[in-house]
Amino acid sequence: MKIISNIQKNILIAAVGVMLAAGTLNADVPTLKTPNLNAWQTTYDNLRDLTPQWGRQSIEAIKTSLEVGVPMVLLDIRTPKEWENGIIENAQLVTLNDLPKAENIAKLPKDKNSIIAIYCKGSVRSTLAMALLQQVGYKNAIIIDGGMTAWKKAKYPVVNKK
Amino acid sequence: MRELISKYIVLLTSVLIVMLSVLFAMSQNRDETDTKKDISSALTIKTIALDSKKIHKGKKLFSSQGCARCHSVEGKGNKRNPLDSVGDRLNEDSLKKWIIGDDSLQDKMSERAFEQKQKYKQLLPDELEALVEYMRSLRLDTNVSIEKEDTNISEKPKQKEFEVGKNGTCLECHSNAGHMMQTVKPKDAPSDDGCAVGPSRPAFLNAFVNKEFEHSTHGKLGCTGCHGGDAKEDDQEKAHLRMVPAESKCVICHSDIVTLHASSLHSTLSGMSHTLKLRSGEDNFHKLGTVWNNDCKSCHAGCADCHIILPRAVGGGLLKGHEFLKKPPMKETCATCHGSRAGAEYLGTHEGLEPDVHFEAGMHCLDCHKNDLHGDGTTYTSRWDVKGRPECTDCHDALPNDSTPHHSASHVNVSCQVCHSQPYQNCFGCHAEMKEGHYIRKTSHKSIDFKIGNNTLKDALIEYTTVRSNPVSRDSFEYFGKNLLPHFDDHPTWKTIAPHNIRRITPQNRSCANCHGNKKLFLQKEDLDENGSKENNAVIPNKVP
Repeated sequence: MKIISNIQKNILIAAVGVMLAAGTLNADVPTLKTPNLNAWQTTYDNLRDLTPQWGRQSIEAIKTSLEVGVPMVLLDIRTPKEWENGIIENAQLVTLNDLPKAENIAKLPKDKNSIIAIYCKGSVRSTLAMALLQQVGYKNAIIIDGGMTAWKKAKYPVVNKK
Repeated sequence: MRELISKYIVLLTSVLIVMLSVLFAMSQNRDETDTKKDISSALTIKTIALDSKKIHKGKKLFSSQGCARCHSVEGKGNKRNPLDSVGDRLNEDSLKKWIIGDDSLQDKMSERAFEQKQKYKQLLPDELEALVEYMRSLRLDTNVSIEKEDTNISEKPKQKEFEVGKNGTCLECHSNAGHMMQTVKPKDAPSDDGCAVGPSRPAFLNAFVNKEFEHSTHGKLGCTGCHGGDAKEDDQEKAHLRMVPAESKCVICHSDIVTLHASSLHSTLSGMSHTLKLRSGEDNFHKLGTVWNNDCKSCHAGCADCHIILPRAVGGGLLKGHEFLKKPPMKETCATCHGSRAGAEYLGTHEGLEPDVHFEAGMHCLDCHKNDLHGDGTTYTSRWDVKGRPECTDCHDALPNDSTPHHSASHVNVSCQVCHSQPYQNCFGCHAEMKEGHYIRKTSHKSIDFKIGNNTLKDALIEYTTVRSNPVSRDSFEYFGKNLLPHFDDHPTWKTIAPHNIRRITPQNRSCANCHGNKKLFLQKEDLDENGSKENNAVIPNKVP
């Protein structure tokens, strides 16, 4: 019950963030034009359906890309409690609730072409965060499909939060 | 009277002999200057005017377009197809046709050569002209003198030349990972036949160039230096026009190893063509062109297939942001083409089987295969003949030795793998056909077995070896014609192999009885396909020892 209410809260915050961001920054994001705000609130499915295919990358793709040396920022938007069980190396830690704050957005790379790979536990929160980052202007914000659950299941390396 | 006649005859004969010998001596000892006079009086020396500017340009193109991969001039380049007298043999028109692989010449050259030449259709008219002019200047016939027009170009001393290109707009896209991620669509992967096995990876990595590459030795040559194309163009399509296969440039700086590699089995696949020809006969081999091109030849490995990209047999794509890898990563390169057999054995990916003990010890394919991959100038017809191929005894003591009682003289007629390898994959009855324009090959079945048989190699010492079923069957290529393998019964399809999954302790070497008298381990009549090659019977051991 608590989780559900958490998600609902997050969706609301993200939606507000999206509204604010869309209003102030006037970013040109053709893939996410949806005038009906109710659509944001009903379920994250709408968002997911709006995500282009390249916007969801598998954990294998992310791992191989990191090995190849593709420059990307990993963004862990889970909660501090979840971070304690291990994060992906070099990930930036910002909770979804804090992400819309200007000071946190400012911590992200200035180049709006940078790849920002967002992950959470599954991929629900990431989808919301991706929408937010796209509205702020990051053209290459992507979701790590399956999130930390899939990452750990594949026994990919995790590190402890510093 | 009779005496007189006989005297005449003797005289005449002797005069005749003397005259003949004089004539013979004259013809043999003709002065060279005389010869020239004779010929010059008989023939007029042809004079051809050639533009030496064009010749110079043609010469440069000859090296930059990678012609030396297949041809040689004055002994430099691939000596199998010398061009030293090409100017005598061909006129301007046919030279042009031969360079661009004109359709009318398709029957006159090998399919591979024809295919390779197609890219030269992209040459600009003046470039083609320059190449033709250069070819026309290559003459050995002394009756032709070449009049070169005066130019200021002084012939540079012969040295390796590489025209450094530009990066220009190329890296704006290729190093922009986000852009690549959005725009690169996954290619149609080669149909999965379970033979070559490619790793799954995101498509955009295939074309992603790491920014750091720019500062590496090869990066300094500039994108267009190797790839051609237009580095000033913003439009994707236009920028990629007139690109050349970059692999043709390797030879400019690495001529020794590239020339050697042209003779290697990885490059010629002569092992495959040889064995296929043994079964099909020379005549039928030509009818198997589709099979050869789509199947055997798809495994051809050039420089890039190991050092820069994933092997093209599994679809290609940059391995590591265009980094040049001196030591190819074995899982991504070696173990993809050699995927279902040697690769899977070595890495231990077959279910229930352990990896090779050498892999567990951290050894790379190249740690053993040091000297047999790049070729030595000889085109072998089997990998077993390659000089410098690795053998167990390179590191381990040959039998008999004292390390264990089993390494005694009684086991010298047994190959190492008989005692030390695990079961391995056998493929049976591969069939090839065309379906909707695609070449399809599929085995009838596969199984993991371990079979000991008679050694099919000419090795006097080793009597028993591990044998593997090669997936060819009598009707493998039936789609392409009837009875295309008339010599099928003359060659076994179960052949000696060295499985790459070595363990010190294996089920068969745990005790004497595990192997001796254990019929299951030995190739038996029941294991053979009823319609298989009759020669397979020769591989079955006479008795189970």
